[in-house]
Amino acid sequence: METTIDTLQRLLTEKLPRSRIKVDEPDHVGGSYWVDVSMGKRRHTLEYRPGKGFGLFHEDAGPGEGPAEIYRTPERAARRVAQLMAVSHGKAMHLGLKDIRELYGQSQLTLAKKAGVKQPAISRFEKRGEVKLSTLAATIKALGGKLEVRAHFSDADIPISLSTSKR
Amino acid sequence: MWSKARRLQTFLQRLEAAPPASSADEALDLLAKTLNAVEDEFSGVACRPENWRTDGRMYPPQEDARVKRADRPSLRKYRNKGHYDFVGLNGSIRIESLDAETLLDKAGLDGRKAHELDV
Repeated sequence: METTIDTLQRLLTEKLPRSRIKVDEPDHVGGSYWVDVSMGKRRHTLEYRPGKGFGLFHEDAGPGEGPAEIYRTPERAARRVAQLMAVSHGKAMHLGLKDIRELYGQSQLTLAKKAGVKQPAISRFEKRGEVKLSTLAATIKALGGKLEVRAHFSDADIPISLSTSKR
Repeated sequence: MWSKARRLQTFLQRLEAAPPASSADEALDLLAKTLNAVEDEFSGVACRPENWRTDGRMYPPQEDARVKRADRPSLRKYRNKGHYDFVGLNGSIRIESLDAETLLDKAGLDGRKAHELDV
């Protein structure tokens, strides 16, 4: 039976046939696998934590720092690495709506219909990055996700409600 | 608050200057205490190692990040995104980039460095 890490390697090889894949295996059961995917000078690193998913690190991650993106399935993780290899020139980039939409294989038109907005609104958002939070929440929901907004302070980490508060 | 590069440099300087450890557990403890102290002072981010996702703070190696090292039984090898931390049973510590650039090579209490073990 194919293990999750084998599945990831197979998918990466299918999507990136010219890549070199190196795996550091854990010393004990339940530990993390580390997967380095290289193409020329470009390299991206995934940490697979059994039961938790695949963490993808951004370029500026320091020693012992956690991943910036987490994917629950090898399919989505492999797709994201392929996306990065195609467009980012080796720098792990911050995801915009366009990247997330493409990661989930949706056209602007399909997404707009699902989110109940017009296609030009999606297009504008992807180009300018300015959008109402309610539109963004509807768009992420249409992709199957849930938008969360959090405020980080040195002594607190607080979710901000997207619904209007009425007293 | 300091940049990550400056914090990392400070951590390496403090670790190099610290008295040598005499065992792997002692070396890991020294590594953790030194990095946590630098991050407490200069990162501005509370210590929450249970959060897997990045919060901008650097964390010392955890047991989950220990990877196989079949050919060198006297060394423990820990992985993070861009580095390996080698910890010798004699207390030595060696930090290397994935491209084998040495950032720190600290001998254990017996005077031997990590690359001198198992040879």
